[in-house]
Amino acid sequence: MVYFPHTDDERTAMLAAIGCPSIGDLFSDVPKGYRFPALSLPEPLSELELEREMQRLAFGNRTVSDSDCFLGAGAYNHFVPSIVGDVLRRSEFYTSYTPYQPEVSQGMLQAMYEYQSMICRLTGMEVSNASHYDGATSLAEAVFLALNVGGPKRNQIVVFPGLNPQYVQVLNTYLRGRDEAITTDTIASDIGEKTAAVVVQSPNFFGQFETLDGLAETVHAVGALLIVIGDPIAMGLFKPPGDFGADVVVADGQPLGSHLSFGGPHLGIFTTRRTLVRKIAGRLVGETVDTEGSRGYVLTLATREQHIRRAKATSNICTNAALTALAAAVYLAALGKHGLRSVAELCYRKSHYAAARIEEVAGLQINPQAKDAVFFKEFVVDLRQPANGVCRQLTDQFGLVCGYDLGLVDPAHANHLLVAVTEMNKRESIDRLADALKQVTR
Amino acid sequence: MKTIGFLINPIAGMGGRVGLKGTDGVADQAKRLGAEPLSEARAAEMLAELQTMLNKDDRPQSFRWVTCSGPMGARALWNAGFENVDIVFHPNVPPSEVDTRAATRAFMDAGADLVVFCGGDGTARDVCCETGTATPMLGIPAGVKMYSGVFGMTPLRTSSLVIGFLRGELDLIEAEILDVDEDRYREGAWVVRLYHKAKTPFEPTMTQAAKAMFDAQADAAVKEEIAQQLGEEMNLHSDRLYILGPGGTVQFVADKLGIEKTLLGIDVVCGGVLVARDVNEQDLLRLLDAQEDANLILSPIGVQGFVLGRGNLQISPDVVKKIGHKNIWVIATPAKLARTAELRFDTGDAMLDAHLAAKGFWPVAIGYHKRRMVKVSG
Amino acid sequence: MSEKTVFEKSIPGRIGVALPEPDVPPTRVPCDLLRADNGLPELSQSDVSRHYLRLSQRNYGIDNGFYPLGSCTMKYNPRICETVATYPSFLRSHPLLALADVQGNLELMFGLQECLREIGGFDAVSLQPSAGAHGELSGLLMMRAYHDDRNEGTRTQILVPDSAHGTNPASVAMAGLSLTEIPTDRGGNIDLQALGAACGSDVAGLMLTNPNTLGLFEQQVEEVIRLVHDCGAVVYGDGANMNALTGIMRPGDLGIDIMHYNLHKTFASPHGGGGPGSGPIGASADLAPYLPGPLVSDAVGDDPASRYELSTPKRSIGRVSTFFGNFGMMVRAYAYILHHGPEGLRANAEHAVLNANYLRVQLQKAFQVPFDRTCMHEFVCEGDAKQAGVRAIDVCKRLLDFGFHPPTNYFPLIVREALMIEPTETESLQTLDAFIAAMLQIAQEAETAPELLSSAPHLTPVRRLDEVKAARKQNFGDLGR
Repeated sequence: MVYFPHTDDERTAMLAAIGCPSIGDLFSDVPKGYRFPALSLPEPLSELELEREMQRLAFGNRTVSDSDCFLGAGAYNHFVPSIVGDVLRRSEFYTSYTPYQPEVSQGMLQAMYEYQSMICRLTGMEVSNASHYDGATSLAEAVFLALNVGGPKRNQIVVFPGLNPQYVQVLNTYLRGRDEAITTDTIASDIGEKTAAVVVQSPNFFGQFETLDGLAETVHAVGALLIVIGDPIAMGLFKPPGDFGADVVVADGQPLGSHLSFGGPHLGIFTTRRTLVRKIAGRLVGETVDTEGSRGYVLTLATREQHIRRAKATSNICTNAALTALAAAVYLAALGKHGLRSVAELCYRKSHYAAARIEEVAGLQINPQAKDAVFFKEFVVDLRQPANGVCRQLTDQFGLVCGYDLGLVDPAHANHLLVAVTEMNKRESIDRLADALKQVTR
Repeated sequence: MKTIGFLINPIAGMGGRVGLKGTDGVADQAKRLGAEPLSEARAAEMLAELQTMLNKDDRPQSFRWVTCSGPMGARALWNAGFENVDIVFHPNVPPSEVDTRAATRAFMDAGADLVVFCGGDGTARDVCCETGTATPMLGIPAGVKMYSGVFGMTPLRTSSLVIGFLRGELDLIEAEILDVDEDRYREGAWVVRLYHKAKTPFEPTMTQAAKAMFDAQADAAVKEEIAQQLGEEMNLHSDRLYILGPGGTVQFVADKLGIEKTLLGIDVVCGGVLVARDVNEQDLLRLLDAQEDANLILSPIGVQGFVLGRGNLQISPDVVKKIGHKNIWVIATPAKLARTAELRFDTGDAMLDAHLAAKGFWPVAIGYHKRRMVKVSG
Repeated sequence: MSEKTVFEKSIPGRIGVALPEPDVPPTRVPCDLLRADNGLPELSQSDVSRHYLRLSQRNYGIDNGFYPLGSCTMKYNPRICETVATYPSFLRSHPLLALADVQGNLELMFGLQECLREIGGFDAVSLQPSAGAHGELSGLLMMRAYHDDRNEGTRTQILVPDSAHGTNPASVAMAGLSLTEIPTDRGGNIDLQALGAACGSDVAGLMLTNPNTLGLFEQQVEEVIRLVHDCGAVVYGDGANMNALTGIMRPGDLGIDIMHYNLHKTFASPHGGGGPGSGPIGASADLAPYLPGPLVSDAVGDDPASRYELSTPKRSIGRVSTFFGNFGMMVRAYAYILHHGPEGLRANAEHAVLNANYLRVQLQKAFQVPFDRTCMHEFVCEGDAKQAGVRAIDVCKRLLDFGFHPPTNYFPLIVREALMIEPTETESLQTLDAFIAAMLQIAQEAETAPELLSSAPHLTPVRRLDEVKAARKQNFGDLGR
C-alpha cells in the first residue's frame, strides 16, 4: 500500500516482536459482536481516478469570472497574490502541528508573532491572539470574554442592528450554554448596569460605517465593554476601531490572502487591550530568549487555556486557524503599508463608482434606508422587485453574480440587493452590471 | 508469645459532641454538658471484630494482653471474651493523664511488644511519652482530634492491624504524634504541634492509579472557585442553612464569602450571614428542627480522608440523618485529594457509615462546577 | 542566529505586489475617517519570499521526519488530497452562490456526510464544526437541548473520565454545564463503581474518549454505555482517536449517541501549524434533530441543478460557524476516504495499532509503561527513563538532537512524567527502529551523561527557550510604538 510502507516480512517480524499471532488479535479488547464491520463505502480510487472524480465534482460548480462576481455578505472576493500560495505550500509549515516544541517551531512561532504584530497595528489594538476559526466565532469568544469580565450581575449583550445575521446566529448558539439575554437595539435606549458588552459592526452588514465617535465613552460609562467587528481591508485606509476606544476588535480575516473556499477555512481575528490579556482565549506567541541569549518565540500564558481553571476558563479552543493566519501575515507583509492602502482605495472607489452607475443608469435607489451613510465596499440597491428573481436572471442571462438577496435574511428586504465591489471587479463588469440591472428592472 | 498492652482513655471523645474540641483538662465540663463516654464502645467494636477474626484464623496466634483494671481496659477485654488477660495496673478514680502514662510504663515493664490504646491525640501523646520509639503503639480512634499517624482508620480496621502485627506481616514505620494545643484550640486557634516520634505497624494503602486531573492548580485558586459556586448556591437559596464544618479548607472558602468562620468549630450560615457559631450537637439539632433544608459543607482530613468522625463529632449520626446524605457537600483541593486515597465516614453509627459508603464513591467538589468521584472506604 | 522580523527588514517605499491602476474616477474619502498610517511593513517580494522560506527552514513538519505526537495523529498527508483541494472551482466558489451553481460542492459535502455516517455508524452528520473542540461544544449544546425538550433541564452534570482529552473539561464549562471527573481503575479503564456512583437523575451525559488518552480500548465499554443510558443520560464520543477504529468498530453501533470526527487527524487533512481543522459531528436518530445546521440533503430529483439542497434539522441548536464550516478540509478528507476505500481505512487503523504496539514493546526495555496491555494507536510511558533526576521534558528536548519530534508530554495527567507516543500507520519499521535506538541511547545517557539531556537541545536553530521570561515580559508583538 502506498501510505503505509509495511512489507509482509516486516509485519511478521513486528508481530513476532509484540508476541501477537495476527494483526486481528491486537483488537481483542473490542467487543466481538462489533469487531470489523463491513463498511459500505465506495471502493478505493487510484490517484488518477481520484483526480478525475474530484474534477467532476469541481466542474459541477458554475464558474463565473472574478470580475463578474458582486457577491459579498461576509465572504469577499479579493486578490490573493501568488506569494501567499507559494509560502503556504511549504510543507514545513502546513504539515506541522501546533508549535509545542518551540526549538523546532521557530518558523511558525515567529510568523505568528509577526501576524500578531501586524494585526495589532492594523486594528489599532494592543494584543492579538494567534486566531480563532472565523469572524463569527471570534465574536462569540469576545462576548464570552465580556461576560466573564462583567461577572454574574452583567448578563445583557446589546447588539447593533447592522450585524451580519450569521454572526448573530453563531453567537446565539454559543449563548445556549448560558442564560444571558441578547438584546438587539440601538445604543441609547437600554444599556445600563446589566450590560456586559455592546457589539457593533463597522462597516456593517450593509457596507456602511457606523458612527463610532463617542460610542466607547457611552459604553464605558456604564462599565461595559465595546466590541467592534471590522473589515481588515478597510483598516488599510480608514481609522481602525482601536482608535475609537474599542475594547475588543474582531474580524473575519478571509480577505487577507485566503480564498473564498466555499466559506471556509476562514480566519478569526481577535484583538484586545493589554489589560484583558489574561482573560482572552486562544494561543498567544511571546518573545523570549534561549539559553545562549538568542531571541526566540514561544507559546505563552498557557495557564489561561482550557484545562487549567474552570471558572476562569475562557474557551475550549485548541485547533485554530494558524495556516490562514500565516496567509494573512504573508499577504500583509507582501502588500505592506502602501499595498493594503491601495487595495482599500480600489474597493472604495470602485464600489462608489458602481453605486453611482446603478443609480444613474438603472435609476435604482442606493442605500434606501441610510442615504447619507458612508460605505466602504458594499451597498444596498432597492430593486423595486424581488431580488431573488433578479439575481437568477442576471446569472442566467448575463453571467453576472450581482449580489446577495437580502430577502434571505429578512422578508421585509425582499427587494433589496447587497452588492459588493472589490479590486477584482473591472470597470467594464461594473458597467455591464448597471446595464443588466436596468434591463431586468425596467 | 507476644504481649500486647491495652488501655482505654475513658473520657476521650467526650468533648466533641458538646462542642468542646477535646477533653484535655475539661472532662468535668464535658460531663456537665451531657457528654457520654464513648471510647469504651469504640474499643469494644475493635475487640469484637478482633475476636471474630482470630476465631476464623487458620493460623492461631498465641499472645497475651496486659492491661489496666476496670473501665481502663480489663472490662472491655473480658466483655469481648478474651481470657488471656493480665492486669498490671490499677488506675485512680477518676483516671487522668497521669494514669495513662503510668499504665504504659507498667505495660513496658511487663514486656509489651505493642501498646494498643483507645483515645485521641492527647492519649497518643501520653502513651508516646513512655514508649518513645522503643515500643510500637497503635490507636483505636475515639478522640475528637486524631491527627497523629498511629491510629487505625476505623475501630474495625484497627483489628486487622493487630492481626497483621501478631503475624509479623507488617512493617513498623516511624509516625508523628501530633496534637492541637487544646486550650488554644478551644479559642479557635489551629495549632497542630509535633510532639514526638513513635513507631506503629503500617499497612501500606493501595495507591490510587489515578490522581486528580488538575494538580497543577494553585490551592487558593481552587478554593476561590469552590467559594464562587457556594456563594451562588447561597444566593439562590437564601433561607437554607449552610452548616460549615471545621478545618482550613472550609474556613478559606467561608472567608472568601465574607463569613468569619471559626477554624475548628462548626458554624451555621443562612441568607449569607452567620447565624450560629461554634455549635454543638444539641444546637445543630435545634436549628435543624426549625429549618430542615440544610447543606453540610465538609472537607476531609488530608491523608486519612476522614469526612465525619474526626474533629467534627458535633455532627453526630442524628445530625447527619436530619440533614440527609444528599445534602452533604464534600470539598477539597486536588492536591489534598492526591494525598488522600479514600474518604472515610466514622460517625460511630456503623449502619449510617455503611449507608454513606454504600456507593463506594463520593463526589468531591474540586472547583467551580467541577467534581471528582473519590473512593469511599467500605 | 535569529531571523530579523518583517519590521526590522522594512525599508520605506518598498512594496511586494503589483496592483492594478484604478480604472474608475476617484471618490473623496471623508478625511475624519482616514488614518495616517496603517503601520504595516514595506518589503519587496523577494524580501518576503526569502523571509518566509527561512522561517519555514526553522520549522519541523511531518514532512521533515517522524512526529509521534500522541493524540494528534501526525500522519503523512497524501499529496493528491492537497492538489485537488486547490482546484479553482473549489477555492473560488462563494458560499452564498445560488445552490444551483454549487451542486459540485454540495455533492462533495453530501458524499462526505454519508461516508462519515457509515464509518461512525450514525444517523446523520453535520460538517459545521471547525475543530474537535468545536464539535465537543456542539455536542454538549445538543445534549442540553435534548434534555430540555424532555423537561429534564435539571440534568447538568457531565461525566468526564480523567483519561479523556484535555479539551473536554473546558468544553463542559463553555456549554454552561458541570463537570464530574471519573477516575481510572488500575487496568486503565473507567472505574465502573465510580461511574455507577456518579450516574443519576442529574447527569446529562458522559464524554467518552475511546481509546482513551492512555491509548487503551475501554474494556467494559458496553457496560459503561449501559450505565449511562440507564440513568437517562447521553453518551458523547470523542472521536479524536478514531484512527485506531476506522473499519474496526463503529461507535454508533455500540450505542454512542454523538461523536465528533477530526478530519485533520483521522482523515489526514494537514494540521497547518495548529489549524485549520474540521470537526464534523455525527448523531444517533434521537439526537440527530439537534445537529448544528445546515446539512446537505439529497433530493434525488432528475434535475441536476437542484439535486442537492440545504436542510436544517428541526430542533437544531443552530449554526456554530458562518457558512458551511471548513470546506477546504472537507475536500481533502473526502478525497482521502475515496482514495483509501473501506479496506484501506481499516488497514490504516490496523497498521497504526501495529506500529504503536511495536514501539511499546521495544521501548519497555528502558521506559516504564504503567498500564501495560495491548494498546491501540498510541500508548503512554513514564518519560524519566527509570532515572531519578531526569525528567520527561529533558528526554523530549534530547530527542530533537536526533532529528525526531518529541511525543506529547505531561499528558494525560494520570501518568507521572507522561510521554504519549502515537506513531501512526505511515511510518516504516526502519523509522520506528531509528526512534527506538534514539530513545534507548537517551535512556543510557540519562545514566552516564545526564547533563547531555538537561542542556538539550544542542543542534536546533535555537537552544532551550526561556518560557518564564516570555510570560513575564509579555511581548506579544512589535507594535511600533
